[in-house]
Amino acid sequence: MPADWDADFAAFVQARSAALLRLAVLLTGDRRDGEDLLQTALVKAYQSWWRLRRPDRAEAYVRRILVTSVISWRRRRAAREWATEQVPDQPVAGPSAVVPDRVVLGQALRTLSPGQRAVLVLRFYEDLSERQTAELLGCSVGTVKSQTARGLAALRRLVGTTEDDRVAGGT
Amino acid sequence: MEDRLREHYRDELAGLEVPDLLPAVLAAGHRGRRRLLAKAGIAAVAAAAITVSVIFLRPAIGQPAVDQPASRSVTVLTRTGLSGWGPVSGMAAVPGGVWLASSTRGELLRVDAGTGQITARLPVGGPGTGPIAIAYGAGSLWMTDGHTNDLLRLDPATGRLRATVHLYTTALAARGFPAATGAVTVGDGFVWVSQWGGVAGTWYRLAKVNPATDRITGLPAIPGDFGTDGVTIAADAAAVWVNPDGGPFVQALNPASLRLLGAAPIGAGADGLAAAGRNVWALAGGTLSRIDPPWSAVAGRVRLYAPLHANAANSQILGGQALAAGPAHTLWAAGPALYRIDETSLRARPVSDFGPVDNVSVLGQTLWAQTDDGVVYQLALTA
Repeated sequence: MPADWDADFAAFVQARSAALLRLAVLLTGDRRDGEDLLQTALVKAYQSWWRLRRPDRAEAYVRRILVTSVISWRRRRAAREWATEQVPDQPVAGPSAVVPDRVVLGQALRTLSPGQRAVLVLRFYEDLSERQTAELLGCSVGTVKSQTARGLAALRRLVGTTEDDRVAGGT
Repeated sequence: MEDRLREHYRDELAGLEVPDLLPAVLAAGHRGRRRLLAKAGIAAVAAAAITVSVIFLRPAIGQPAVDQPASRSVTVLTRTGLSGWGPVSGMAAVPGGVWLASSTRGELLRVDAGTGQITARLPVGGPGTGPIAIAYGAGSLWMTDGHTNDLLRLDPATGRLRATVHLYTTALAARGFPAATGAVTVGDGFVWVSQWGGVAGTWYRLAKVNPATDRITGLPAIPGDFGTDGVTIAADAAAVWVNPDGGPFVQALNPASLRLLGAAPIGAGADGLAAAGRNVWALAGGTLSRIDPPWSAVAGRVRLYAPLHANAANSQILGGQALAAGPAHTLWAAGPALYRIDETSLRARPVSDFGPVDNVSVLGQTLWAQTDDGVVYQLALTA
């Protein structure tokens, strides 16, 4: 690959890595996995750099790889990751044992399907519209709506339960 | 809950440090490429890939295996070196020669069939924004221009511009929206061009251009959104077939009504499509699939080679013309070798001595093959 391509690619990575990493971390729910996911996406982009040609195409391409790859990643990892309907760490009574909200919500997010997680990240972190989210995921707007509703309902159910427990426990 | 979610995302990213991924990415990207480009390694890698594909990669049930390399069914007529010209984004055989496109160099180049000499070298756009794809048909060479997003009609003998067709993406790009033209092919008397645009490559459209008027006569939307690398197209009187890059389906459209006729799963994005009568062939991940009417299922498969991976020994980037229909019910495919496939029996034979091939193009009894190390061969096809 010619040196000027490397220079172009390096400039792209320098400029966009932070934003892309933030998306990757939220999609995977883990910083290390996010780095792995972004690195995989960047290698693919590098291999296709001569076809991408323009930074706007490259970023769209990498974002697309991140979103589609995380779903297949999580499917492959399903065998060793334990998704459960219940939040595994239930808070117990006593102020010192209260599980912080972000931990509870983070655990609840991990129980969602990869598609639901991606939809929520795109809608509420990237602030994409339903249509833009559908376009990025390659699905219908109706699917985005239903995935969003189901994801939020599941979070309310899981997080709400723990809040109720906490209240019942006297916190 | 929405607000809590937003707050949670902000918390999750607090203090996030961005590691320097560039060295690892470049190393991974270079690794495979260097292996192939090492002169002494090319033959060994190709031979190993062929051996592995023949001995170990047994096809799935009902799929014939790739045969051992056979005696050549081709005769080399000319050999033209393109050392240092870079990746070839498209190739199109024309009467009396072949044209090659380099998007990265921003050039079109013509090789003469009679002498094997380069007889034209035309600048298009600029480095990185040159010609995307080229195709021959209706007496002209057709090219999608990565700089202007136009479709250009050129004289196939000289490269002289005959007409410019402004596409939908031309106007979009001029207004600052991400948009680009992609593949081009000629079939059923029309020129077909793919376009994508919008936020993050959000839509695809196919432009149907009448070569009698150089005007767009149809602009059907292509369902799905699979990436921004573009769409592979093949066209014949029976149908127009499209495969958005990364999309695991080949969709068939009625060339007259532009309505969707069927969609056949091929498992991965196609590296190449080739129309052969009422059938279409798709090369995806080293496997060739035949799709028959009504184009809703794969009718036959043959595995030519293992999928090309960025970091594996068979690392290779195929060009935009990786599959071509030849005479006498044959197909020709690019890959770790040059492959000849019999349409009827689904028997595939690697043709030895060329090494990894990026692009193939057929016109009449002549096959042009561009190898990964930058050589263009003109081959006479024999029975």
